[in-house]
Amino acid sequence: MAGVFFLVAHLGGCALFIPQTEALREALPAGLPERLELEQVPFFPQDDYQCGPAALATALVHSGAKVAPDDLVDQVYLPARQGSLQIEMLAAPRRYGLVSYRLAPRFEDLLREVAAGNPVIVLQDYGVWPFSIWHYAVAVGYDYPEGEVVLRSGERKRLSMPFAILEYTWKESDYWAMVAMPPGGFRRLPPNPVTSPRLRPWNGSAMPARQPLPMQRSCVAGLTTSPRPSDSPTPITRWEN
Amino acid sequence: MGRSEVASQLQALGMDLKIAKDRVAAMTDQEIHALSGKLESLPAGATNNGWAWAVVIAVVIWAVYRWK
Repeated sequence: MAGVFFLVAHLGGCALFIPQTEALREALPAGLPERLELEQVPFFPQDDYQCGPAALATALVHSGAKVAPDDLVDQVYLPARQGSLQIEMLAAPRRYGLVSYRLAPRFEDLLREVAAGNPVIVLQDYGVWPFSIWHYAVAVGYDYPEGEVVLRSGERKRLSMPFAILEYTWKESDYWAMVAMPPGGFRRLPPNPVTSPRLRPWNGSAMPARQPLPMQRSCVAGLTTSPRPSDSPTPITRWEN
Repeated sequence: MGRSEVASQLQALGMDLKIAKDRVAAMTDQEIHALSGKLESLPAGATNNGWAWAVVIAVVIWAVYRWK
């Protein structure tokens, strides 16, 4: 897999498909360790199509909630869709006294959250156009020299995925990513206030509308909606949709 | 569209009505609004064979770049 990343990253024209991986390849963002893994993050192998409850339980238990994937099935799983919707994934942590945050659509922010000790739930699309196969996984580590992210995914406790593959699948959801933590938790563990503006607590008002399927496959759609943080007046800024 | 509509939409997608109402009760007004009428079209994360597809995609990416 590392070889694939290497190959993809070193050939020309990649910026179109994996712009953020290309940018990351230039340099490791300042202040991040070269590699780390949150080995203590629990793993719940998913049953059938229930990656939503499994991924959510992974993050919630890590944040101190006493919950199992089966408890979350009634809260986030839709039988007829055989899956879980993003809004319900964001809403459910509230029931356990936790606060959800959507991340800005940036690879760097995912790495920073992981480095700050927060597992990050991502929504990937494994389909090949025009079909979508949506899947939730949880990022728990990365290895920059190898160019890989470590995921809890499906039945795999430890799936090493090249940055390029993660980005290719992840950008289809406009780089959708969330964390869940106790109220005020992110102030205790600021990722990087300068380069990584985040976040306001999720209350349902910031859900970007997903555009109609066929023509929304622009790699940079997520990037252009993300404000540059350089002129930010406050240490902890917010990402507004 | 309000909570009862979303609850009945959830029910139509296979939820027990009691559970559907419970779920709707835990949402904010904005969440209700965002879900209403879109329960069948929003992305639903589901698959459990993701790693197998990753191989497929790796090949696709590889092929695209090799082709250039």
